[in-house]
Amino acid sequence: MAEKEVAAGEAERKLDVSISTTAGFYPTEGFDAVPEKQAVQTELDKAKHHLKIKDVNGWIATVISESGKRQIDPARSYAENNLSGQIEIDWGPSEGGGGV
Amino acid sequence: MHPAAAKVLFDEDVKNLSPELCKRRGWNLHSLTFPIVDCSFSEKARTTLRVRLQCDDWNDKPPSVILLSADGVPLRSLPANPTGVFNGGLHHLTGLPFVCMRGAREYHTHPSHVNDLWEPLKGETRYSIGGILTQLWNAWQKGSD
Repeated sequence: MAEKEVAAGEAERKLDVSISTTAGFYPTEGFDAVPEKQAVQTELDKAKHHLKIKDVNGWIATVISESGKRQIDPARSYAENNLSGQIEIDWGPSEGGGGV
Repeated sequence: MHPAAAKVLFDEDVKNLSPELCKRRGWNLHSLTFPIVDCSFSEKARTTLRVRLQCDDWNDKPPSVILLSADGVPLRSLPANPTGVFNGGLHHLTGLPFVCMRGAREYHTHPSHVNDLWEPLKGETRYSIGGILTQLWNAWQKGSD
């Protein structure tokens, strides 16, 4: 019984997430509480819809850690991306093509 | 594009480049007044890069992107952290190192790329003013210094 309660608690553990883009923030203020086992993409999709962003092809999601800026994998969960606590995700287009 | 119309599009494009966003990204906006976006990228243990986007005739033309030192002087040579889009050669129109990336006027006017037109790109999210600035920021962060 106790093990089940612990397992249920772990399954529902939540993190605070805020996403910044040049179209605005999602949520507009503060943080959204999301399950740590939820794929990052779920929240990015909400941000895209809320901020009315037309096209996110080639966009990357990053976080700032003590070792600098780090790209995360939206297909993986927050836990799988080694994210915890209050998470500020920056989302925007990666470096474009060019070259002479 | 009539200057008044260009200003309306410019102001709409930059309205969300807020102090909160700049704080998160380590951006310092020196100017955000039509037709100029002047922004420094800073991060601990990295050489600051400052860029000036000249957005006259927005968005019929892409912005001209001038690379600046931290104190606002146009760079005559690139810092030690170039990545692919920062070209140390001198652009034939500006006589300065330039950004060789779709969305920068110097790219689309370069003899090697005059057939890669701005027209089909304009209006795409990644080629908004904020999108271009973000691409430059991401390119700068890929550098080694």
